[in-house]
Amino acid sequence: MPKKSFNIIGKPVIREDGYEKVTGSSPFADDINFPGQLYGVMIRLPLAHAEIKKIDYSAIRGNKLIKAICDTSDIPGSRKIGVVRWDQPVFCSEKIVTPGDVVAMLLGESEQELHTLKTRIKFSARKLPVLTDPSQALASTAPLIHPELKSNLIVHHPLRKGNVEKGFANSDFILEQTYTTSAVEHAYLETETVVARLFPGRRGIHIIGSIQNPFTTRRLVAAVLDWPLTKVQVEQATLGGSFGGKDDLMNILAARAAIGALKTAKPVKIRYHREESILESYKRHPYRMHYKVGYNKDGRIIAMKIDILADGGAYASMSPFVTWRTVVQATGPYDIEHVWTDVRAVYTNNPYTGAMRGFGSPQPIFAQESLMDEIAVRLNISPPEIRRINALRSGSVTATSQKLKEHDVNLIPVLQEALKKSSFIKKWQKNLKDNPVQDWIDLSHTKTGILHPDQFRERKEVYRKGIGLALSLRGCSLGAEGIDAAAAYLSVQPDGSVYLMCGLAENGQGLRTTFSLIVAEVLGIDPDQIYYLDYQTRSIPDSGPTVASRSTLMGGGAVKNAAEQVRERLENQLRKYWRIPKNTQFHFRKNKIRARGSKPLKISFSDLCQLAYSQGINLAALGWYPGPQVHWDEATGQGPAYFTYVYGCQVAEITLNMTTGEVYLDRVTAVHDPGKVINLLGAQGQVYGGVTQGAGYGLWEQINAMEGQIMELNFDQYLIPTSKDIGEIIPVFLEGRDKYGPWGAKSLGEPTLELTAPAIANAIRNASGQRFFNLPLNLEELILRRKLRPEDLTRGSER
Amino acid sequence: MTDRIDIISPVNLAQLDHILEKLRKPATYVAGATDIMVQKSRWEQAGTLIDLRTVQELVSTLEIGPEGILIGAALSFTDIIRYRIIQEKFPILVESCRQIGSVQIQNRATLGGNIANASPAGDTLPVLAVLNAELWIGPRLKDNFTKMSVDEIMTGPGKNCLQPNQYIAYIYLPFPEPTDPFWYFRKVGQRYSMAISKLSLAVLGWKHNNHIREIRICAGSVSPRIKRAVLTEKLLSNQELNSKVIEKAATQLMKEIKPITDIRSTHNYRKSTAGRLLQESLSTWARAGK
Repeated sequence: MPKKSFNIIGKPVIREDGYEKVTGSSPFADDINFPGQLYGVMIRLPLAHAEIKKIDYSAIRGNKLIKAICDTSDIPGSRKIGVVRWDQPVFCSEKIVTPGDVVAMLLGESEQELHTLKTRIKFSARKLPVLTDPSQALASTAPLIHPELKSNLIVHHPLRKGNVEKGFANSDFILEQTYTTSAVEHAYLETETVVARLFPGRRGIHIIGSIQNPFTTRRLVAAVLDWPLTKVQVEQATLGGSFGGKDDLMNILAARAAIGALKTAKPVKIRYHREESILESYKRHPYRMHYKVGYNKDGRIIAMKIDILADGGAYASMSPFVTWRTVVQATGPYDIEHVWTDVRAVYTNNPYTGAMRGFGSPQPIFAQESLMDEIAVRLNISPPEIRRINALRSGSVTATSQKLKEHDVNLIPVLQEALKKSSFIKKWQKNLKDNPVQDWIDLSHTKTGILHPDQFRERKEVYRKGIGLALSLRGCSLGAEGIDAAAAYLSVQPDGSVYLMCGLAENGQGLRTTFSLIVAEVLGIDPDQIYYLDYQTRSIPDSGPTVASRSTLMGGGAVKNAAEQVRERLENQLRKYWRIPKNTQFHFRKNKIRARGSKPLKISFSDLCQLAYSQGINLAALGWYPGPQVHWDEATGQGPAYFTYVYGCQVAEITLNMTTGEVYLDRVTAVHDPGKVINLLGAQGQVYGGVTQGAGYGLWEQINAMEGQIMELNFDQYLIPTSKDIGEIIPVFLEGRDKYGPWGAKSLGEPTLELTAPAIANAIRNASGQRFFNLPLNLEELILRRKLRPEDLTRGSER
Repeated sequence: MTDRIDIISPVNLAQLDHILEKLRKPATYVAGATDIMVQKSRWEQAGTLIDLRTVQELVSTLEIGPEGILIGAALSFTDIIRYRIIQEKFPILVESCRQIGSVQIQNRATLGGNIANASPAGDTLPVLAVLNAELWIGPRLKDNFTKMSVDEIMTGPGKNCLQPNQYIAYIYLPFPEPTDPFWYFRKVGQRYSMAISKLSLAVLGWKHNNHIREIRICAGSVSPRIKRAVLTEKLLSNQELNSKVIEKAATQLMKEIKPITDIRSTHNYRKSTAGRLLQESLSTWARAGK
């Protein structure tokens, strides 16, 4: 591919919504109010698993403060919804399967009064045995969460490549280890909020909210109302964070608000306070991962057998897709001949789990990148060396038997760059020398779990340094999950200013700026000339969900396509106007268009637009970018899963307090190949945020449910990292070439998060000589090898 | 639940005492309000709040006497951190104030509030205990405040012995003996800011001829109320610091404290880490003399 010089692509550009965000003037969903608006307040039963006998409203019925009570009987269409499997009731009427479940909704003008009144509602229910342990979900004695489905199995993804038993037989060594991860909360700043109102004359319903995927919301609300898609208009308010979290729950809230609006003919707003948000919203899947690896003396991995169990909680939600990404990527970025993987997701009475930034990759990467270091230790080679021996290269074949081709397979290059930028080898060796393993006091080995008097060995240093790395490949966009295409609408005005909209949603990641830059580059104009239109489902074709780090790749492709269509029409117009040959090429730069060639012809962009407009040229275009075909064999887990991949390597440097088990994250060097970087500032922002979120996953964050009931319902108990907890983050981009995406721009959002936790775990290994198997690696895990949750005394371990 | 909350804002102690004399309904004292603000159900039930931050004497007093200082109970942690006299004479208090919450919390929260809130995890409480702080409780009876120590005022987690009309007016801190004091304060939380302690330890001591002449030890978040570890203190006094003595003391401290397992940490972690922290502090002290 020839080198191209860019006008604006790749430079750091301030976000187009930066001013509003910083000054607090962005209208979030809760800033939007309509006259006569009612509030919807949810009614829940404090139970994890029960058959509902009766809900008794007699104590509040007739109260003037209550305008209506909505339950499942008010639903004209589908009473259950879901993004994959329709198993989640909008209002529960038969069973409660997790404490977040909602049985009804009170509507009234005073939200506060409704919260008081709801405590007077009485109910009778028959308690059912509560299933909290996913490993018991498939036992014949397990209570069925959804009896009509006959099984608690949500999905099973097998993957079979080569002959794993033969592989183990031919291996010099076998290593078996079990790793576990926790459920975690998205922790978006803005809690869930939605407003629904009927258009005059019942011409449809208007829904505005903190919605991640407006087209999914539209589809499900239409199903619940039994209306055509055209009558459901979903608009996205400024979103205060999502990270994959404002999908299923927002769809259900939108459906409830719509039902309320339909019943009362008044606008209905639902807004959650933090406790309610954490209680009902879905989490990241906790995984239990058993790995058996066969490898040779020379470091070559021959065979890998993986058994993964994901706790799907009470509803299927995104479990089938989350675990599908897991099965594709469970062996990591390594070339392994024999692979046997089983990934299962099961129902329990725990809070349900679904999409969250990373989407089924942070869990296996924690396990498999920890394992790589363990193999290296056993072979007495360095962490980079074991990876170099096994890394996928151009032309390598993945676990799904996909040949990596037609793009730069930059796995080794990102590794080398990370090693160089962090002086990895030098530091890693020094730490090994400075940190004698026998100094670590592991209290899990004492009988009482309490320090014994003779364990007060005096240590020279309380603080120790550690460095660790993790490496990954990640399939871009949806892959074989589903249809992959996106649309963009561009309309150039006679004065040269431009309207732009894309079918993918601004979820805070900065796509409006990214897309504006793409248009600015193609048309040679300033991004300030572009007016980005608010997202409405009636104004743009369904472009699928804004997920899977697919916006720049897919939406960017559609935006570029739209801009190129208009540019081509403008060029044709110019050729006629200047009477120059049909093959003349043009420069679009700094608001001027010049014809390439000897004659010094030029025109300003606005004059050209005026000219084209006066000639009746269509200056609007609908851009379309279809993803190439991928396919997948369900039975064997084989096929080209994703049409392209990105690569990343993160190095974490930590200080470990030997007395308390505290870990301070000194520095993270994050080297990513996202393809072409469109907005450097946006890309760096993704790294800062992703690494911080990944560090939270690695060190602190954990949702504990006791009998299905979440213990950490607010941020006093659920601790996410603050700015004081994270040291320096150094983003480095190594731009690989690719034929897909705008100028080869691919994915970055999720890769930035998935590597941090294993890099930290490996750094702790370097500092302490200890391997820790269970996320998060908090103080109790390091000192006692246990979690705060009583039933979790021992989770993963070595076998 | 009520929509209305009455806030009473007395301007000085005389007015506060007068209001309390007449008040017939239950009221809640607030100063920085950093705790009550996040406990919505508590302030919704409160009905009447008495704002101590408007009481002139409580927010501005810093009297330096010959043997100690008197601090208004409604001084913020930021105030305390900034006073030079406190930095010079009570560095251990400044250190504990710096580790509380975040800068924003330190700007609002008060020393009196930390004491009245009576949380076993209150970060300044172990420090006030080893400083032999004296609490002056209002209202005055015949011009005299009632005097109390930190371990007397606290009766259990979130509970203090104050009557509804009583409030903490001042904290008196006697100057620690100035010759070569050793001090240590360590807070262990899940993260570095905005984290409630899993455990904390305050140590203040003096040596004479290589022997411990006096030592005061207090651990936080390890018992329902703040108490000095008197048995460990006794074990250490008049001892020469060596690894054997340090081990003994750490073991004794682990016996003396009674931590529980809760959402923030476990019995085992708290117990073991308290022992290790004492070991760490005493080892530092032993090395410092050499």
